[in-house]
Amino acid sequence: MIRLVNVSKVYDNGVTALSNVNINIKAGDFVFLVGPSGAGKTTIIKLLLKEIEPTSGDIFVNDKNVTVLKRKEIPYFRRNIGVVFQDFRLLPDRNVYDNIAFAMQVVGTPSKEIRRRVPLMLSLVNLSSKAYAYPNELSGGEQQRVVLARAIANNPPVLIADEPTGNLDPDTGWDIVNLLSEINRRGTTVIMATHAKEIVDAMRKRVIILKKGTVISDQEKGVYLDDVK
Amino acid sequence: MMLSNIGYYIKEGFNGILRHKAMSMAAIISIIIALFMLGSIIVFGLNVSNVIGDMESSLEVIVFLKDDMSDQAIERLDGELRNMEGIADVRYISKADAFGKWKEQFGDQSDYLEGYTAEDNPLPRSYEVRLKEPSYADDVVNALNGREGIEKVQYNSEVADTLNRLVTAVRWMGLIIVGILLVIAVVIIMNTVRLAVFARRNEINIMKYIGATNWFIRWPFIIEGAVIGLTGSILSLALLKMLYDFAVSKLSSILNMVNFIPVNDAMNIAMLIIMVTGIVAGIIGSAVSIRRYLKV
Ligand SMILES: Nc1ncnc2c1ncn2[C@@H]1O[C@H](COP(=O)(O)OP(=O)(O)OP(=O)(O)O)[C@@H](O)[C@H]1O
Ligand SMILES: [Mg+2]
Repeated sequence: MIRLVNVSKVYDNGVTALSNVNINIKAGDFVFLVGPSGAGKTTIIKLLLKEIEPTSGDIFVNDKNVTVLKRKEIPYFRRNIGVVFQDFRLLPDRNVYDNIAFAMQVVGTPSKEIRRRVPLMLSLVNLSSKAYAYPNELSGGEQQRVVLARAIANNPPVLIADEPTGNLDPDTGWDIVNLLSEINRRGTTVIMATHAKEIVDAMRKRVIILKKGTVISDQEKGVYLDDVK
Repeated sequence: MMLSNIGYYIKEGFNGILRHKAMSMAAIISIIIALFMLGSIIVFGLNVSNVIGDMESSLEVIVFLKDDMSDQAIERLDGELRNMEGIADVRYISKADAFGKWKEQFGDQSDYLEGYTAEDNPLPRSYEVRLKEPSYADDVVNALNGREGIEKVQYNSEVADTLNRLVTAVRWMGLIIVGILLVIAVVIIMNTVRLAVFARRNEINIMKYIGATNWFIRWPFIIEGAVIGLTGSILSLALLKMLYDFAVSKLSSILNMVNFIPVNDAMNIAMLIIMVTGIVAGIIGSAVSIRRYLKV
């Protein structure tokens, strides 16, 4: 499903963010990407979204070689990946309903289908009562749930979350992780970069640990190793 | 452009304006100011060249005919005059016409024509020839001067030369000023639209992550730019019309020899330039400024 083959990334300023990383993720997996700050987690996610290019190596998403993708193909490629960021990133000038509907308009969904599906997404993330609220009228947890609803609105096979609980208190963070877990159970591959040790340890999912740009551990039902912190 | 999305693009274009009211207002106001300056200069220039044009066209070549010129010769001259290059209008003044004109002009103040009748008087017959442009004057005068049957060809070439130079100068100055203002207007409009796009770079960034194509992102912005440009140009035209109307009504009595261009004629000419500038600058402004944010 997702493969990184001998991937290295050296930024323009000379910083080596990743060196010779190999990762293989199967369809339907739930994977935690952990490691100390600066380890290269966000760099991997940006590579998967083709926001940046690897210095060397190959990246495959849905068996498509991302590195040879043409500029014009990028939007269509990204529709296969739902994204969630630490800082929510909702459109501040639209209400919750329109934020979710927007993601579907982008891919050309007929408005009838949008009207049918947005309420389903809202009830999945438990926000049916907030459909007409604007992002600044929502708590952080609520905003992140809207982002989640938006990310899966088009049923992408892959969902990538970069520290989705980073700005949330532990309880609210758990709401998000439970939702991610539910989404994963429905068949979506989930990759989550995080610093939340309690969550990683409790979930007992696959854990890939990065340090200084290399994979130092990759375990099924893994835990957050304290010494890398 | 996906045809099925046109409705969405237009709706989003208008929504963009309504959602960012302050930004849109600022953009529209600066467009009004830029285009109003442009329009004022255009209307002013039109009036100046109109006034000069009036003065020019009042300059005529007058061809006085000898009393012994035969009717056939006059007929021939008439035909030639009408076919001559650069001539706008030819009027024959018979002895009776000349007599009437004299009486009209001087009435009882002069007793020069005392005892004469309209048919029999010492005033010569003549042709009043209006030129298309003063630049034709030399050719016309040279062609007629010294011809048989012609007593004298009269033309005030000094005044014509001055007017001619003036009109050329005014045209060039007008073109240059309009050109400069046009550039300023375009820059102001594009800059304003750029600010509006900059304020929404996050929005564009999010769209890119969701997988929106560049054109999907671009179209609403372009429509927004066009609508803002159009609104600004219509409002600046309305303002210009109002102030021009007012100025004409105030100035007509003071400058009574000036023949102002009617407000609607002036607006028609200014409108084309203003609307095209407003809309085109709005569209180009948004299309250009959105470009750098699309490179994610
Ligand atoms: N755009 C960039 N230009 C230059 N260097 C960068 C850039 N982005 C990241 N880096 C560097 O690359 C390395 C890896 O950064 P990355 O953001 O991938 O870390 P991370 O694991 O996501 O860290 P955190 O847990 O703090 O989010 C860091 O040393 C960082 O300074
Ligand atoms: Mg990071």
